[in-house]
Order: sequence, then structure tokens, then C-alpha cells
Amino acid sequence: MSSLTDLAPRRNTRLRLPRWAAPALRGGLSVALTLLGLLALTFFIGRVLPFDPIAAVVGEKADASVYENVRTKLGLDQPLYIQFVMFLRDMLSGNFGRAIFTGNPVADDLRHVIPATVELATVAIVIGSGLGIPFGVAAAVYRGKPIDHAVRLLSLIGHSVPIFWLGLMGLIVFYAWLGWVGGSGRVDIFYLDAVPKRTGLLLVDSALAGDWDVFVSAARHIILPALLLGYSSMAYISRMTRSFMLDQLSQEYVTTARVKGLSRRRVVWGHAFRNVLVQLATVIAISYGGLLEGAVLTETVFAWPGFGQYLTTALMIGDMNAVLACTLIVGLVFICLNLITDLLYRFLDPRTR
Amino acid sequence: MTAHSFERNASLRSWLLVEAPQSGFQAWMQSFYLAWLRLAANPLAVIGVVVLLGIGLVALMAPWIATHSPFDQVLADRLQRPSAAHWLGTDELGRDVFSRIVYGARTTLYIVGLVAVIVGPIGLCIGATAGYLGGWVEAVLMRITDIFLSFPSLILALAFVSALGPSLDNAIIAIALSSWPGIARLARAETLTIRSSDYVDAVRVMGASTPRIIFKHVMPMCLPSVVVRVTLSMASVALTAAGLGFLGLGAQPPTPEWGAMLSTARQYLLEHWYLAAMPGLAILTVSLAFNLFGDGLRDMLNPRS
Amino acid sequence: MLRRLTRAALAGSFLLGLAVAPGQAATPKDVFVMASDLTTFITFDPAAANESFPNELLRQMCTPLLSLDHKDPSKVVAGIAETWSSSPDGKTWTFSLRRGMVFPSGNPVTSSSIAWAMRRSIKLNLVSASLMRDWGLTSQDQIATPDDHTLVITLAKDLAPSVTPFAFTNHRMGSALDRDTIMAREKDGDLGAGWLNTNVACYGPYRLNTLRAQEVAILEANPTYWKGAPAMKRIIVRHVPEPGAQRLLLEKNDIDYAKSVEASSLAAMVANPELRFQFQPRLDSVYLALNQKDPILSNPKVIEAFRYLIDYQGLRETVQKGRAEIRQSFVPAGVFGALPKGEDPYRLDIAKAKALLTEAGYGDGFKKTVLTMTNYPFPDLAQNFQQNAAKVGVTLDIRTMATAQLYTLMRSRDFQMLMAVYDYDYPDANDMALRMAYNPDNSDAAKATNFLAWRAAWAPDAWFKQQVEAAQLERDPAKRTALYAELQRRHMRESPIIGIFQRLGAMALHKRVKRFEYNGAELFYDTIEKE
Repeated sequence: MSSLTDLAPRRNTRLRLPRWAAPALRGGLSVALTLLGLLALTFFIGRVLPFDPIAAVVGEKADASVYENVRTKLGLDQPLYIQFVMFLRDMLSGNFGRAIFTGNPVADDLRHVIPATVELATVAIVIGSGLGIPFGVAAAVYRGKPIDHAVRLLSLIGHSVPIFWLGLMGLIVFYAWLGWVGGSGRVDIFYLDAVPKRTGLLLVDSALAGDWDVFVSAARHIILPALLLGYSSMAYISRMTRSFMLDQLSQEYVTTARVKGLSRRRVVWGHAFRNVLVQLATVIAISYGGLLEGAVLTETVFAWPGFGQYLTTALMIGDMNAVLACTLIVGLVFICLNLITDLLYRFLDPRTR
Repeated sequence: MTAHSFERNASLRSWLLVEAPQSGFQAWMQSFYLAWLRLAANPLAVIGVVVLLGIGLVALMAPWIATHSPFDQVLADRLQRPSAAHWLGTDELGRDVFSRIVYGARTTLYIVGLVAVIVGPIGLCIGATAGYLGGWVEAVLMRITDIFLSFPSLILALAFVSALGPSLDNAIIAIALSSWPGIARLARAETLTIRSSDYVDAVRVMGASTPRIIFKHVMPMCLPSVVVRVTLSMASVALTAAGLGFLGLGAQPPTPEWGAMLSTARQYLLEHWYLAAMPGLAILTVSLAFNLFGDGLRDMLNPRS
Repeated sequence: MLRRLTRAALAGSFLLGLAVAPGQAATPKDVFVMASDLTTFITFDPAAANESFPNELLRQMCTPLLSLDHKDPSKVVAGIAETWSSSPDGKTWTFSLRRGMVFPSGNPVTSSSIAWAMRRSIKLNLVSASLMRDWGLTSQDQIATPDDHTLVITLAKDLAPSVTPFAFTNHRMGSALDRDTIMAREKDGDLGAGWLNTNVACYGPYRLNTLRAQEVAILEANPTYWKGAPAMKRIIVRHVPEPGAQRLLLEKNDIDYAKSVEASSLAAMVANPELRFQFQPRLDSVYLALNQKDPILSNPKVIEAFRYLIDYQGLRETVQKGRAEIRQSFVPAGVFGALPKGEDPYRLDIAKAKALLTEAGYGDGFKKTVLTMTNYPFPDLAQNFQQNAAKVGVTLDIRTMATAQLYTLMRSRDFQMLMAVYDYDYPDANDMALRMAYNPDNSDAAKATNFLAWRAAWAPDAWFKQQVEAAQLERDPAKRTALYAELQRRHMRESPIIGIFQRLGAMALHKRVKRFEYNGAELFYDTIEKE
């Protein structure tokens, strides 16, 4: 949602500041500092939250002695900074600890939830770029014409619509009324665990196993949430495509090519579009990263057992091990994306080379 | 239209378009007028402005527009379908949904307005200071900004609001806390280009103090793009506010708030889908209007993009 | 050009559109499929389990020493103990176990399996240790195993012999654990607690096959269960957090049982001939508590005024329709010691409330905060109450919050008013009287957090204490009933814990489910029958 609009300036400002990332060492240091800061922020926010993990563990009926016992067991009786240092030490040794609300090691939980989100985000990005790129190109070619306005309106609606609401309405119409799609979850109940887990991506696993019933069921379930997420990334991709293409189409070589008698189609797709491919790849990578976050509410509405739902639940009961591990992952993804964009732009933009 | 008024309009127009303005006031008015002309050329942006004004009017005139009190419960009339008496039906406590949506515009605009007032200046100050001073000040401020930026904004707002306790005002603070970094980054980037301009050099040579340069000369130059950015982010503020309300962390009952209305309506989705459809449409309308307007503003200031 | 673009854009969505094809099938005959919210699933360890749904599943896998009758919860019947008896003073209880019971691992179930489980709970000092303390079971020496099939437990508390057996109907207190299997998985001296978070090593009609929080839980039948193998070979619980989605699955024939039913859908669902409903009064109280540390809220006239500000009747017929019955006294209907139905003296009376407040000197009203839970029906109940209070000048701010957060504030007595529900442990008036009308020590330091009177900082006078303790010991059922009746009537007049409703459990089943027993306290999966 908001992340998509936030991303564009993030990239722009980055590229005006090459001296920051220039010495690789300083770059690495700044990434590490950002991560550390991110973890510290998460940690301390987590500790001031009124959500009490002890209350979640012991419920309403434990007496004071049990309550204190659990507090000690969870290490919550230690001063804050010691808890933080202990947490960092564990994390450096690759130990994320145990999640309270699932009873599993966080690393195990993540192995289950991340593929679910990756699958959803991948289908969404295929839809998003499959629609967004042609729309963006059309808007640029027909700049100021009705189609330009239509694409702009469509993409702005994508930015503006509350995705959880669209999800609910989609379920009502396409599942409850029309019965065209599967309901919540990843697959029909009977097909749970029906195919061996290889990649964790249900569409891939069922195809590998040749079990087309499962594949169809999974596809019926993924299509609605993926369309919704795909729509919001389409909104972003089509806008960026349009602006990249406008840039290219105003270049001299385009006029020259047209004067030389090349067809418009040749010029648009053969020359201009080819020149924006790398930029587009970056934009797609960014919106793919954004889907990680954008999926939070969508996953809740569709009961999609993914990363977003996991993070929200953990946060709501103050399960800090799980929250911190998730934050670290989100932070890493964003930082990596920023780095990739930086590198690509330095490589592409002659002014910064 | 009489000839006289036409003449006056014409002279006003020429006053606004004259090549060499006679006063600062005229210069300001001119740039506003030119901006308006460019904005008016973009039909979508005009729609955005009109819708926003419309919603503002609804919020302002809520007591006259609403057909019922947004708070009065009539348990016997609960969950009624839309009718002449209740245009959009009634909710689970028998309150009039239309009236609650009308009053909900107040809640939303209150949140959006306050966030804009808080976030704009903070982002501008931090960004301009960091950009102008450079060095370790910039390093520290921008690291902090980065940290906030790498945090999912809804989650950040959620964390803040639960730490502060759920209420409307805390939701505003939380949203503000999670949306300043984007503006700070933008302001800094703008400052970097202004910092080395001849104009700022000249002021510096004349002996102006650093705070004076930042406040008097750098910030005003950053203002237009910050305004655009704030307007655009108002759309996502409206969405985040609705999201918080949806999760029960925004306005507390019985305040009419669209996200919270949507959240309660979720229970009645199958029988009474319109209960959920209407607040959602309202959120979409406000957010879209801000996006259309902000988008038009951006085009106006930077026709190339 | 334009057409080509559109075609390119649509190609992607068509590819996926192909996947959309119909195909529904009923659930298999010997598999019971249900939908429930599995968002949090903290632990399956009987020493620590406290959440209601995980406990319900655990109950199907861990049969306690004794069991509640499937129909009448006030009757205690045999469990893994075949016979039981008590000493004349009612403190020492001897259980004789069934022969030939084995754990899923093949290890035999003996008296020491139960003794070990109990001692383990005491040692770990988690939720079930707290339960045991309530019954006066605090030391490992109170548990003895004269032979493999005999278990002797000595409680350090005087209680009427009709009450004590309820202690052993709780699977978290009196079920068997497979010691060898668990200790083989012990880590850092945790007595297997880490492993038991997501595993079960108990004896019962079902055993755990799969558990993934936020996804699925699968139980499979125990073919060697002493009552015979259950008819349902598998129980599949699918994670569906939204009640609306659960309903759709049920109506579309995808599941047999929807765990959560929305009040709003109830009427439409009951009318659906494909579905079948079972209603059962639950073992709980929906209440409003006023903190007695507050100078205004501790005024008896103010407390009485609030009793007249709740629209019991109106809410029962609208928001709570089919989901709750009015119950102003603390013992729920159907439980030993309950007052007859209809003995609920209070109703909404704004004028009377106004008069009482004026008498108390608060004719101009005051401002307070009410805490409540985010889930149905609490925000609705609170808002209705808020509106009534506003009519007498009392301004109430509502704060809705997650349940765990509310518990924390209850424990620290850090609230002015709160509206919540309390789930009782066993169907005898003694439990309710202890929770609602008894406070061992009202000081902050006492931290008697298990007593609602302490949470509300209410110190009932000596009469209440005597009455509760006398009723606990009384062996004559008629006299006991009279004691509880008197206690409840006075409680309704004086207590700052205002009883409102007893909820009704509504089970939404597909009509092919012929039998699914629920007695208001527990559900029994082992006797489920399907067509």
C-alpha cells in the first residue's frame, strides 16, 4: 500500500548521493548500523508495547507464583539492555529463539511461512508486471490521450483502495456469490499435505508431483489474493513504465528513427522499450520487495498462512523473538533492494559513473 | 455576463499575467494563477480538488447533511436494509449508517489534516538541516530516517499506537511518527541541490547565520516539492488510519470512523454486504481524491515526469 | 497497436483464469473436518496449556482420571480410572486404573505415568500447578503409587466429597504422560516442555498426527482406546480465522463443523436445511466489574445505579439473540447451586439509576473508562451501556483491547471498569463462589489474581467468607443449595461484580453429522457419528 508510494523517492534520493556508498567499507558499515538500529528500535518498541507475552502464555487463571515463574523463564525479569545484548548474541549465532504463539523455533516457522508469501508475491508480480508494463507503455505512447488518463486513474485507484476492503468484497462476490474462486487458505482442506514438499511453493510442488487436482485447487485459492496484490503493484509499475518511456520517447534518436521511416511499433518496442528494460527490472524488484509488506493485511483477510500474518500475530501478543526475526528479514530485503538499485543506477547513469 | 464585469475579469487576468509584476504580492498571485491554470488543464486533478472540497463541505456541514444522530442507538431497528428512513441502512446497534459515514468524514479529515500539519514541518526541518549541514549531523539524521523507512509503515504505526494506547489522538501521533521519514529524505535531496547554488552562496558570503539560511532561504525552496509529497502521502495516511481503525487501534467507539465501521461490518458481511461496502467506498474516495490532486500538483511542478 | 496492447495485458490473467474450475466433494465418511481459528497455538503441554481451543483438542488426546458425563456436566463418571473412593474425611482419594492401556509409543499406562505427570506439573510451576494449588495439591509427596494400577492422592483442603471429584476431571491435572518418550526429548532439564509444545504423548481416544500453527491440526483415532476406537478415523482442523469464511465452507459442504458462528449469521444458518444446530448453555459469566479502589465506584448507591443501566432484555433480544441468556447471579444455569431461571431482579431503568446517583451525590454524573475485549459481542455491549450511562450524565470512554492485554490490567488492578467474560473450571457452585464472592486478602501484595473479587479490589465482609467456606464443606445437598442461594442473592445486591449474561454455545454442524456431544463444559470428539 503506502510502501509503494514511499519507494520511489527512496530510490531517487539515493542516486543523488553517490559519495555515501562509494567506499564499499563505509557502505557495509552503514548497512550494519541501519540493521542494528532497526533491531534496537523494534526491540524497544516491543518492550514498551502493552502486550504482555506472559499474559498470553499463562492466560487468565494462573496465580502470581506461576506468573513470576514464566517471567523468569522468558528472561523478562532482566534489565532491558541485557535482554537486548542476549538477543543480539543469539541472533549472531543464528539462533532466533522460540516463538511463543506457535511453540516452534522461529526459524522453523519462517521456513513454513516464507514460501507461502513468496508464492503469493510471485504470482502477484507476474500479474502486476504483465498488466502494468503494457499499460505504462500505452500511456506514454498516447500521452495526454484518453488512454493515458484511464491508465493513470486505474493506477491511482490501485494506490488508493484499502486492500483489506477490496479483499473482503472480492471474497463476497467471487467466492460467496459466484463461486468462481476458492475461499481462504492456500488449498482445499482435503489436499492439505497431499503432495510432497519440495520447494514449499504449492503450485510448483503439485506440478512436480503431477497432481493436477491439487494444482487446480491451489490456483483457485491463490488467484484472488494474487490479483489484488498484483493490482497494487501494477499501479506502481505502470506509472514508472510510463515515465521511463516518456523519457526515452523524447530522445533525439526516436525522432531520427521515425524520420528514417521506421514504424512506430518498431521504435517503441524495438528501441525505446529495450532501453528501459534495466530500469524496469529494478522497479519490479522494488515492488516485489514491497509485496512482502503489502501482503500483511491481504494475508489476514484471506487467512493466507504467510509471513505477513505471522508477523501481525506475533506483534499482537508481544512475541518478540518472532517479531524481531521478521523485522530483520524485512529490513534486510529493503536494504538489499536499495543497494541493488544504487548499483544499477550508478552503472546506468552516465552522470554518476 | 455584463461587459463591465468582463472587462474587469480581463484586466484581472492581465494583471495576473503581466510580464513584470509590480509587487511581491502580485508576483505571488501570478505564480498561483499560473499554477492553477496548469492544474486546471489536468481534468483528473480538477476532479480530485472538487471531490476534496466536497468532502470538506460534508464534514463541515455534517449536522445538516446527516439525517440522524450518528450516535443514537435503536436496538429494535438494528441491521435494517437501506430504505427511505435509513438511506444506507442501520448498523448492529441500530444507528443510521449514512449519518455515521457523513460524520466519519470529520474523523478522517481531522486525522489527515493533523498529520499533515505535524509531518510537513518535522520532515522539512530534519531534511533541510541534514542536507545543509552535511557531515556527521547528516549521517546520524539519515541513518535514523533509513531505520524508520525500512520498517513497514503500517506495522510501525501499529506498534506506536499500541504502545501509546489506542485512541484517535494517539493514532494521529503514530501515523505522524511513521510518515515523516519519506518527507525528510525528499527535503534533504532538494537541499543538496540548493545548497551549492549561487544564490545560497551569495547569502552566505553576505554573512547570514546558518539557521537563517536554512529557515529563510533553503526551506522555502524545498517547500513546493514537500507540499506535493505531503499531499500524496495524505492518501496513504487516510489508508493507514483506516487500517488502524480496522484493527481496533484507531478511534474508539462510538466515534464514527470508516475503518472501524468496516471492521464491525465484517461480521455481517454475508447478510449485509452494503454495511462493509459503504465505508470502504468512502475511504477509497478520500484517498483517491488526495492522490489525484497530489498527482496533478506533481505534474504541474515537474511537467517532465 | 492499442488492441495488441490490450491483448498482451489480458493474456496473463487468462492463463490464470483457466485454473478456475468447479469441483466440490463432501467430506469422507470416517473423517471429521472442522474449521477453527488456529492463529495462536502456544502449547500442547498439559502442564502449561491455557488457551481454550488447544485445550479442547488436548482433551481428546488426554483422558483424565474421571470424566464429566457427556450429557449432564454435573455428573462425574469413570475415565482412565475404573473405580474411585475417598477416605471418610474426604481428603485421601484412591483410584484404580484400567488394565491394558498403552500410549501411542506402545509403552504401558500405569499409575506412575499419572503420578509423574502430576509431579512434573508441580515442578514446572506453570498453569496446571496453579490449578492444583486451588485444590490443595502442592507437594510431590501428596501423590503415591502403591502398585501399577493404584493411585492415591491426598489433598490438603477440606471440601465436600461431592466437589472434589471435579478436580480429577481436568485433563491438565489427572491425565497420563508417556514418561520415557518425553524424557528422551528432554533439553536442558526442561522435562520435555519444549518438545511438548507441539507434540502430545498422552493416552486418549485420539493422538496427534500433525500440527502447524496458522495452518492445520490433524488428530488420528487410537484403535486401542478402552471404549473402542472412535468412529471418526481422523479429525482435521483447518485454520480459518474468519467466521464468515467458516460459514461459507460449511454451507458449501467443505467441512462438517464450523467452530465460530457469528450472531448475525445465526438466523440465516439455522434456516438452512443443510445445517444442524446444537445449543448448550456454557459455563461462564459475562460481567461488569467496578474497581473498588475508585472513590466514586465504591459508593454502594453508584454500584446499584449501574445495575439499572444495563439493557439486559434489549441486548438479549438483539445483539445477543440466540447467543446468551440473562444471568445476574454468579452460578450458571445447569450447575449445582444455580438459582432458578428468571430470578434476575434488575432491568434497565434510567430514572431509577438517576435517582440512585443523585442520592449518592453524583446527580451531575462523572467520567470513567470502561475496558473491554475487541471480540464480539463486547464492543456492542459496551457501547449500549455507554449510551445508557450518558442518559444519566455519566460519560464513559471505551477502550477495546486484546484479551491478554486485559488480563495484564486485571492482574495489576489497573482499571476503573471492565466488561468481560469469565470461563469457569468445573460445574459446581463452589468454583463460582470462590471466583466471584471470595477474597483471601485484599492487599496489593497478596496478588490473589485468581479471584475476581481481588481483581476488583473488593473485600467482601466476613459473612461472605463464612458462607463460602461453610458451603464448601456442607455434605447435605439441600442445605448446600440453600447456602449458595443466600450467597448469590446477597451478592447480586452488594457486589461490584455485576452479572449480566450466561452465554450459549452454538455448534454449527452439517446435517450429515448425527451426533456430537457437548455438555456446556466439554466437547467429546470420540462419540461423533456421521451419516
